[in-house]
Amino acid sequence: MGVASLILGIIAIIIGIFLAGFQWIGAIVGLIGIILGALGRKDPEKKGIATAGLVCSIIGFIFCIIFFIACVACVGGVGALGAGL
Amino acid sequence: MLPYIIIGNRFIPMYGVCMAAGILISLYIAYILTKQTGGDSDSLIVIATSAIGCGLLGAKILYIIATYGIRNAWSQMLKGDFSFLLGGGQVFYGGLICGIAGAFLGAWLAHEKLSSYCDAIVPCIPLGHAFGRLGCFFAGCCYGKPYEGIGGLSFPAIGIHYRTFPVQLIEIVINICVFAYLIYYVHTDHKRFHVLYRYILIYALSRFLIEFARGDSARGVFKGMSTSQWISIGLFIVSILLMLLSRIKENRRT
Repeated sequence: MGVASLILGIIAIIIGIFLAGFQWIGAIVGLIGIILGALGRKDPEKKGIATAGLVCSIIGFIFCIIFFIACVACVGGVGALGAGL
Repeated sequence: MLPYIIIGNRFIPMYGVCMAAGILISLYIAYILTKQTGGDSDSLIVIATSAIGCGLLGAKILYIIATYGIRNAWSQMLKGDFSFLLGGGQVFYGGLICGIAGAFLGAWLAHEKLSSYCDAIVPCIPLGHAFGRLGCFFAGCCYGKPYEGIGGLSFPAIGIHYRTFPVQLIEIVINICVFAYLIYYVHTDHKRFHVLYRYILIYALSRFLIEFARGDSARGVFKGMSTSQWISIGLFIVSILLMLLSRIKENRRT
């Protein structure tokens, strides 16, 4: 679970930073990574890698959620700016 | 109003930033409360993450139902058009209901009883919600009816040039007050799940009243009341019934 969490966390970070428009996939991947990381930390032998996976997944999830979640008006606001330019 | 910040050549939506900050701060406070009650922090992360994931999904589903309708959304999906899924907008109650279901799922995954973590998680819901409303304030969504009194807000970037009732700011204040009350309540002697019932009771009542001051149309209206007002009535009744049921159970035991 720890290794899976680390891999998912890294994927979520990559999607969050580089793949605009696919952040909703990154958010789901990050959430699964967080759950696997937290469950993996219960095994004392693999606590280190699970912690690394947990941290990476949290960072990836946060990156993705910042760009994915937007209110109606927020999208409209950016559109209005684009029209203004 | 500050719908986005620009870093380099990227637009960063303030709504997303506020949501992320709300989730992180709420999780940290839930972690502190879990430590105080002697719970397992890893189990808390599993339960909270599951609740957040299901909550975000539920908020989006209810938004789509309220704005597009099930039939329209389904016909668009059949045509292969999924663009409406990626657009902005959530409904808080969808998030709350699915988030509670998600918390049960998380507790099952972590092999824990949800009642042991209820006191740590529930007070953080209004705190996270307050950050969400701060995001609404920055984005200019969820605005109030036209209003010329003190504290009226206008959002010219999205075409709202007239002054509106500051609904977002009022909801931030209410949520922070509810958070403070629930923090006090979990430190008193109380029955299990009662913190959740109390939160729903207070929030449903305040949301029902706040909805009368809302001016945005993208929320769905049925028989003169908004979707959130109907859900407020339902949740208010359900939480009262659950509180009464637990009182009756308690009386039977003694």
